[in-house]
Amino acid sequence: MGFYFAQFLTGLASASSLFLVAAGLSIIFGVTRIVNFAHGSLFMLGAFIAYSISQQFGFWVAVPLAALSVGAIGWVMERTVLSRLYGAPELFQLVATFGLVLIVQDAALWIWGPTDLLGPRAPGLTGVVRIFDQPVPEYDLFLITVGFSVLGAIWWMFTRTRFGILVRAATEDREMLQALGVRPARLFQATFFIGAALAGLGGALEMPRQPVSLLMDLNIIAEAFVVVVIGGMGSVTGAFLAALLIAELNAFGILILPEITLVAAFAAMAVVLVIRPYGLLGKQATTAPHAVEIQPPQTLGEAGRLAAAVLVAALFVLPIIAGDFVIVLTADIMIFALFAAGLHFMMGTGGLVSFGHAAFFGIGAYAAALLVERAGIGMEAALILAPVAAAIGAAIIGWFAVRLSGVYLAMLTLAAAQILWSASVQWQDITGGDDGILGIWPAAWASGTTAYYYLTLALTTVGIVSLMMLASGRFGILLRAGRDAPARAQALGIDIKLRNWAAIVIAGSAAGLAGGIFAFSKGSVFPDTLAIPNSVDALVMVLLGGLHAPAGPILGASVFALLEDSLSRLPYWRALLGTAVVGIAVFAPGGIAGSLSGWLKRRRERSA
Amino acid sequence: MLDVRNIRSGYGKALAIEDVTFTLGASESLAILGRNGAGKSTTLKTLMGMTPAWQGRIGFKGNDIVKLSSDAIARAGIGYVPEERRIFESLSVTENLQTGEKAGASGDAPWTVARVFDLFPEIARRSTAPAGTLSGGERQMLAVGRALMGNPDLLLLDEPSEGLAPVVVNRLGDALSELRRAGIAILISEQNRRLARLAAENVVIMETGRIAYRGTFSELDRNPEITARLLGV
Amino acid sequence: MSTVLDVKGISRNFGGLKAVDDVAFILNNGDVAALIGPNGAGKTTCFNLLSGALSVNAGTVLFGGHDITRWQPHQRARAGIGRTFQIAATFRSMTAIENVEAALMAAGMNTDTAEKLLEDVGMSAMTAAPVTTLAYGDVKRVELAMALASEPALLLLDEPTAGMAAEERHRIMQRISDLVRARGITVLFTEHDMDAVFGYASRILAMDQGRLIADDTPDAVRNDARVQRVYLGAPEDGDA
Repeated sequence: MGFYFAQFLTGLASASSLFLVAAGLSIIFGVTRIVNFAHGSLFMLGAFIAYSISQQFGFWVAVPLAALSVGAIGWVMERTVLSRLYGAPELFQLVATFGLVLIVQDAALWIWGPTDLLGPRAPGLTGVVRIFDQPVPEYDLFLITVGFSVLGAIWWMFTRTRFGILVRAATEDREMLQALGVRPARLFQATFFIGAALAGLGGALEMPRQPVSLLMDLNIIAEAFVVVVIGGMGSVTGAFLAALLIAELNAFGILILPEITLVAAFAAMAVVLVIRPYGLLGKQATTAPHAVEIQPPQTLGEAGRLAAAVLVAALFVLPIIAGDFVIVLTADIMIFALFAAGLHFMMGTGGLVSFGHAAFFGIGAYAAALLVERAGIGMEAALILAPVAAAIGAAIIGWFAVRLSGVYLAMLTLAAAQILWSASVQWQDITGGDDGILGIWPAAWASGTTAYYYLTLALTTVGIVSLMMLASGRFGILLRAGRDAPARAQALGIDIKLRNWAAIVIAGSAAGLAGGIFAFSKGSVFPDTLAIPNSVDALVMVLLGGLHAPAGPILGASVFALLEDSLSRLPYWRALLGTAVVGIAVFAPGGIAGSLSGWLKRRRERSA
Repeated sequence: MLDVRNIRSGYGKALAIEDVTFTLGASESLAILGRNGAGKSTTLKTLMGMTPAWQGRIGFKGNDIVKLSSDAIARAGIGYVPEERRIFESLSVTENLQTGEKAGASGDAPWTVARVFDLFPEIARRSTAPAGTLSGGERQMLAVGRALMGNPDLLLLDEPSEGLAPVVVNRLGDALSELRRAGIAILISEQNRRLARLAAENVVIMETGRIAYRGTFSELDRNPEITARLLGV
Repeated sequence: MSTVLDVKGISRNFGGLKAVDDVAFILNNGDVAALIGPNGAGKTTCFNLLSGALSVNAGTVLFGGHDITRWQPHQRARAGIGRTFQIAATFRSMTAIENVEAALMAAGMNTDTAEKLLEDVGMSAMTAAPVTTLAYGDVKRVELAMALASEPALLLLDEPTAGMAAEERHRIMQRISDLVRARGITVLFTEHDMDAVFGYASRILAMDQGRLIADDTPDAVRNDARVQRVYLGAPEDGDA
C-alpha cells in the first residue's frame, strides 16, 4: 500500500513539470491559435539558463530568474516571428515554430556546448520524508505543491482578473474582442510571456531531476502535445488532468512492464480522443480554422505535362553524363519527392495535416530492413511489403486520426511518430537501438549506383504519377469536397471518415515505399528515419514546393535537398536551415511553385 | 460626429459597397434599410475597421479613422453589435459585459454592469450563466449591453432583429429608444422597419452597394412607391 | 398517399437544455411542410436530427419504412434524404459545375446531367464560375442543385431564402416549389420569412421550446392562438 502511494506521489511530481509546459502551450494556443513547437525549446532554455544562474547565485535565485528570462525570450519570439504569422494558415505557423526549434538548438549548442550538464539540487529539499514507511524525496513534494499552486494561480487569473477574462474571450473570438477595443498585440504579448515563463519554470525545476541536455526540447514537446490533446486545446484544467493521467500511467506502467510506457501515452490519447474528440475539457472551435488554405488546385496543363516528360527523360539519361555523387544525390531527391508527394496528397487535397509523416517512412524502412535481416527475404519482396507495412501502420494511426481535424490531427500523428521513434531506440533486441540495422543491400541485379538509381527512378515515378492521378480523379475530387465543406459532403452521401482514412493509408504507403527504397539505397536504417526532424523535412518540402501545385513535392524536395546539402557543410547549419524555414513561412507562403505560377500569371495578364 | 465620404469596400476582389456618403450628428440616429446583400453589413463593418475601406474617408469626432484598426476605432468611441451577436459563449453573462469595458476607463463611466442589467433585466437574472445557454433574444441584449460597457458615443447595430420573434423585437425597440433618449447616437442596419423606426429618425436605403434614397421615416411613409421599389414590400 | 418520414417522439438535450423534446410527426409523399418557430425553438436541431448530423437521445426516425435512427449522415443521404444548410455550403475550391459534378459523383451518378441541374435552378449562365465569386443567392442555387443531384425522396431545406432579397425570395421559392412538384419530392423547410411559409407550404409544423405545438394547414396554424402567442405576436402588434 505504502509503496503504491509513494509511486503515486512520484507520478504526481512528474506531472507538475509536464503540466507547467502543457499549460503554457495550451494558453498560447487558446489566444493566438498558434501551436508552438518551440515551446519545448523554451522548456530547455529554462533548464540551461537556470543552470548558468545557479552557478553564480544558487538554485533558489536561478529558478524564478530563469522563468522570467524565458518569458522574455518568448516575448521576443512573438514580436519578431510569430506576430507576422497570425494571419497565416496553421500549418505555416507550425513550420515556422519548428524553424525556431532549430535556431534555439544551435544557439544552446553554441552557448552551453554539447555535453549534458548536471544542475544543483535544491538546497533545503535534498532529503527524503517517509510516508507510509516509504522514502519520498522532499523535492517531489515541493514539485507537487508547485503544480497545484500554479493551477490555482491560473484559475484565479482566469476568473478574477480582467486579463484572464480577456484571455478566455480571445480563445473564443479574437476578432470580436478587438472590435470591443482590446488591443490584440498586447494581449498576445502578455500571453506569450506567461506561457513561455511557465515553460521556463518547468525546465528550471527539472534541474535536480535530470541532466540538462540538448535533447530536452523535442522530448518534452511530444509529451506536452499528448497532454494538451488529451486535456483539450486551450483548457488549463484539462492540461492538468491529462498531465496527471500520463504521469501516473508512466509511474505505474513501469512497474508492470517497462516498455509499456512507450505505448501508454499513445493508448491513453487514443482512448480519450475516441470518446471525446476535442479532449477531456476541450470544445469544438466555433469557427473551425482551416489547416491549409482552400484554393482551387493548379492543374498540370499541356506545358506541365511536357515539362514532366522532359524531366523524366533527363533523369533517364543522367547516369550517362553525371558522376556517382550527383547520381546518389538525385536518387535521394527522388525518394524524398515520393515521401513528400504522399504528404502533399493528404494535405493539399485532403486538408489532413500530418506532423508525423516520418512514422510511415520509418515503418517502411524498418519493415524492409527487418524482413531482409530477420526473415531473410529478398529485396523485391521487401520493397513490396514495405509500403504494405506502412499502410497497416497508417491504417491504425489513421483510424484515430480521422476522428480529429486540424491541429489535433497533426499533433496525434506527431505523437504516434514519436512513440515509434522511442520504440526504435529502446527495443534494442529488435531494432538495434541507436546502432540501427546494417547490411541491407539491394539484390544483385539492382546493386551498383546506376542500377539502383534506375530502380529508384522507376518506383518513384510510378508512385508520384499514381498520386497525381488519384488527386485529380474522382477519388481526389470527393476527398477535396470533404475538405472544403465536410457537412455538405456528408449530406451528399460522402463517407468522409472512410475517404480520409483511405487518403492517409495511401499517403502512408507512398512514404513506406520511399522508406523501403531509402533503406536499400543506404544499406542501413537508423531511428532518425522516424524522428521529428524527418517529419518536418517532409512538411518543409511540401510547403517549399507549394501545397496546391501538382509539381510542388518534386520542386520542394529538389530545393530542400540541395539547400540541406550545401548548408550541412557549414557550422551551425541547423540554425541556418531554421532561419530559412522561418523565412519561407513568413515571406513565401505559396511555396516556390505557387510563387512562380503567380508570377507567370501576373506576367501573362500584363502582356495580355 | 460621423462623416462618411465616398466609401468603397468589399471582400477579396468583389466590390460590396461604393460611393457611400452620409453624416450623423451627435445624439442623432440613422437607419440603413435595404435588402439582404445591399451592403448594409459591409458599411457597418467598414466603419468598424473590420473590412478595410478601399477608398474614401470616415471622419469621427474630427479625426479620420479610415485607416485605424478595429480596436482603435472602438476606443475612439464606437460600439459595435454584430449581426451574428458573437457573444463569448463560455464566459458568464457578467464576464461578457466585462470584456466590453475599456481598459483604463475612469471611475465615473456611466455604463456599468448594474446599469446594463437595469436596462435588460432579462439577462440580469442569468448573470452567472454561461452566455452559450442564452436564448436568441437574450444574446442580442447581451451583445448590446457589451457594446454599451465601452461607453460609446455612437452605437452600430447590425440587423439586431434578425431571427427574433416579434415580441422580442418590440422589447429591443423599447431599449433602443431609451438609449436614444440617453443621448447615444445610433446607426442601425435593419430589414425590420418597425424596429428601425423605433431606433432612428432618419433613414437611408441601400441598393446593390449604393445609397439609393435618403430622408426621414415620415417622408418615406408619404411615398410608398419608394418603399415598394427599393425594399420590395 | 404513402408515408415518407415517420418521426416518433425524438428528443435531444444539450446539457440541461431540451433542444428537441418528444417531437413526433409524419410526412406523406408530396408534402411541402414548413417548420416554424422562434429562434432557439429547436428547428435547426430537429433538422440535424433528421439529417443525422446530430444523434437523438430518445425516439425513432423511420424513412421509407426503414429505421434510420442510428444512421450516419452519409448513409441517410444515400438512402434518399437531401438537404441544404442555413448558411449555404459549397465546395469552395470548385466552380459551380464542378460542385454539382462532385454531388453527382458522390451519389454514384453520371456527371453529364450537371449542366441540366444548374439550368433547372436558373444558373446556366454561370456554370464555369468559381463558387467563391458568386453572389450569395447564386451560391444557394448551386447548393440546391447539389441537393437535387441524388434525386432525393425527401429534401430538407434550412431557411432556403435567408440572405436573399424579397423578390429573389419569391423566385427561389417558386423555383423550389416547381422542381419538387415536378419530381414528386417531399419537402420539409424552416423559414423566418412568413410570406415564404404561408405562400408555399401545404402544411405547417410549429415548434416552441423544443416541443411541437402545432401541425396543421396554413390557415389553421395562422389562427392558432398558441402559435400567435409564441411566434407571431398578438394580432395588434403583428409585423407590418
